Amino acid sequence: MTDFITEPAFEIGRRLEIRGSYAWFVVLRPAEEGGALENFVAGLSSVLDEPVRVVHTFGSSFEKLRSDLNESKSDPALITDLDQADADYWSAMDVNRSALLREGAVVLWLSSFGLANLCGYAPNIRSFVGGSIFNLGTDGEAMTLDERDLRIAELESHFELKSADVIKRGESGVLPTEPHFVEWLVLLGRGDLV
Amino acid sequence: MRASRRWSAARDSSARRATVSLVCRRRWSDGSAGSNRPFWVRLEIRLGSNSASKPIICHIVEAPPDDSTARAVKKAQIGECPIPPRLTRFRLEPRMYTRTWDFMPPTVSKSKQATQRRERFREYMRKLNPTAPARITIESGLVVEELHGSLFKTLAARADLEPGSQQLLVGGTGSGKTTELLMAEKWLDQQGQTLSLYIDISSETDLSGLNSGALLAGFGLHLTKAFSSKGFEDDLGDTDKRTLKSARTEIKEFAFGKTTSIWVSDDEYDFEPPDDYDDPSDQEQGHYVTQKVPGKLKPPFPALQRDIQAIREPLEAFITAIRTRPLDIVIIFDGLDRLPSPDRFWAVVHQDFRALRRLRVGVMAAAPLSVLYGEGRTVSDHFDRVHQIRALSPEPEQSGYLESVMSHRAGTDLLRPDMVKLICRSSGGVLRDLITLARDAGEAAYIEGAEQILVQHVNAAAAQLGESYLRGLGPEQISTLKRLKKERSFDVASRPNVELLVTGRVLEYSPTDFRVHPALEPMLPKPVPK
Repeated sequence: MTDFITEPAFEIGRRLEIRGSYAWFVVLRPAEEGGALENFVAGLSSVLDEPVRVVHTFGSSFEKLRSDLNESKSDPALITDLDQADADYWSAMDVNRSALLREGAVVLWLSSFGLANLCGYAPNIRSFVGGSIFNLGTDGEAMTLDERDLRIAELESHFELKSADVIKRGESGVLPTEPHFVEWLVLLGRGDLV
Repeated sequence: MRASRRWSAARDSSARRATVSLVCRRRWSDGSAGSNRPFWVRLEIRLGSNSASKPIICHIVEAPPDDSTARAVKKAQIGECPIPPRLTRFRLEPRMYTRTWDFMPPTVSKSKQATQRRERFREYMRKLNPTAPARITIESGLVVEELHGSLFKTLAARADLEPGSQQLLVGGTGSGKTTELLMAEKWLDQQGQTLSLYIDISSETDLSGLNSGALLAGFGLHLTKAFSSKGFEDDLGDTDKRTLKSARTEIKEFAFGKTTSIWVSDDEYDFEPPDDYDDPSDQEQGHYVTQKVPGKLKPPFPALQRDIQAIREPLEAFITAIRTRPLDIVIIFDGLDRLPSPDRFWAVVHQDFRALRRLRVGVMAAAPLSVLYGEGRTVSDHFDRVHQIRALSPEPEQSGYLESVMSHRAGTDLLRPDMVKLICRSSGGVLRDLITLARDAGEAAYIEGAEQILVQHVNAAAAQLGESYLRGLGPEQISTLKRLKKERSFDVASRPNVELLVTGRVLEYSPTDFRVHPALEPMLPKPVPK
């Protein structure tokens, strides 16, 4: 069985950003959710440079969803709890799709089960989402130790400086503030010197 | 400047107590050298030492895929690139680190290149936005008018020539119905003989609970609004103005409901007065009760024929005033195609449309595709004409219309002609899918750092779309699709099959030509070898 592309929050954010207005996405949450939503929202907000608003649907009517979503028309909004939505709720969302239209991006936070319901009961919303469905992944987000060492070696080679000298200059407050020096300090575990 | 100030704040106010964390990710190509995909670094800076707090800066550094270490070193030797390889573009520059550019001029040109590339892709994405409101797309000049044989003109001309006629427009999801209806409205407006009113009813009220009278209520509200906005009131006499003011109030109450206070005599209640109650015999015993009458746009509540009659008179007052201009009235109802079945559609429209016919108001309405098949045909029989938007042929020799959409919207800057053909074929001739695929392929190219859309980008977009069509299908539906693929047989009278048509998994090219959506077809599970 094939599957949707897996992307970390960072890449999903880039996709949202390049699209501009009226973007619709589905993000398939990891099976073990512990903190995944908060991390995703924080990551997305960072990339978009504006807060992503979380709209909860659990136990609320479609009318409430509509009014919550349109509280602001232009900010990116993420709708949660739709895994609990039954066929009637999806159907109500589907026939009233126009009421959910907004300039800001709409991200639906779903499990595979929730996605199957969306595709089964809400063909008009599925059509809006199209192929913009991504598994939320974390691979590639963090640097491995080898990658870190390689990167430090590159910086040392280019600037013809040893890492120890960079730390010394950082401690003396004379290290330039350019981003690559910031990166260098962080790679050395000395983010406190920034 | 905002970012620059925040950066300073992080350094100064926290006295070196900012927490800087780095998240880095590299995109290697199939485990090879990694030189053809971008490299990314992300820095997050937080005030204080709480790593869970919200970052005040997210700094992203991108390096172009073609800047190999060797080339960068060479550039550095000749003074072209005085910064590290793979760190040659700063996404937030020059806003954030303005000072940097004073002594790193070559990087400015790099940054400009990056900005230009991003703007090129952004412009492409803006023109290919399948979820942007159709009215914006039309106003931006992005619509190819003759796409469906100028269907909008056929619709509008019929409404123009036969006042009070009722027409339906049906088609699969994303086939372009809204665009055709809006173009018809525009065309009628240009002719100057008709007052046309477009209403997307689902954006105004809860369509899932829609009941008889709601369409008339929506029509009434739009009619009174248009009457005022077009200045029709200006040359009316005082009597007419009073009549229309009263009619407007009735229409509003019909739509939104009203609250009245009515006197209720205590005789109607089982009221036992207290022993010390002083009975003023000259007063009738009773009290006021507030009674709320719900409006038609606040569902659900039962439909009553007498309600429809009640709204007829105030509507007629406005219609008569408009006809003296002289203008015909055409109402265009969009969104009704999303009602899940012909029965539901008919339950919502039949009383209201009958009233509109009596008022000789022309109607165009989007309707579910299912009114064309099986039991649904009894619904379509009630209308003067039913127009169908079929999927356009995606075959290379017949895909001219689809290709014209692409060249009209996207040009050839990012899309080569062979990629246009590939996108057309994968779309199955469904307009929204065509635009979705083109956008998604462009997005994939941008993310990967490519300068043009390549075959792998189109294929990735088509696979994602096909997978989304596959989800939610049960074993029986998958068997039907497999049978259609293999034997080309499809029973259009069966209700589950109609659902496959409505949801766009099966596309109709002619009354005898049904096919599985080309993006979905390769996703269907393969038979397990025995």
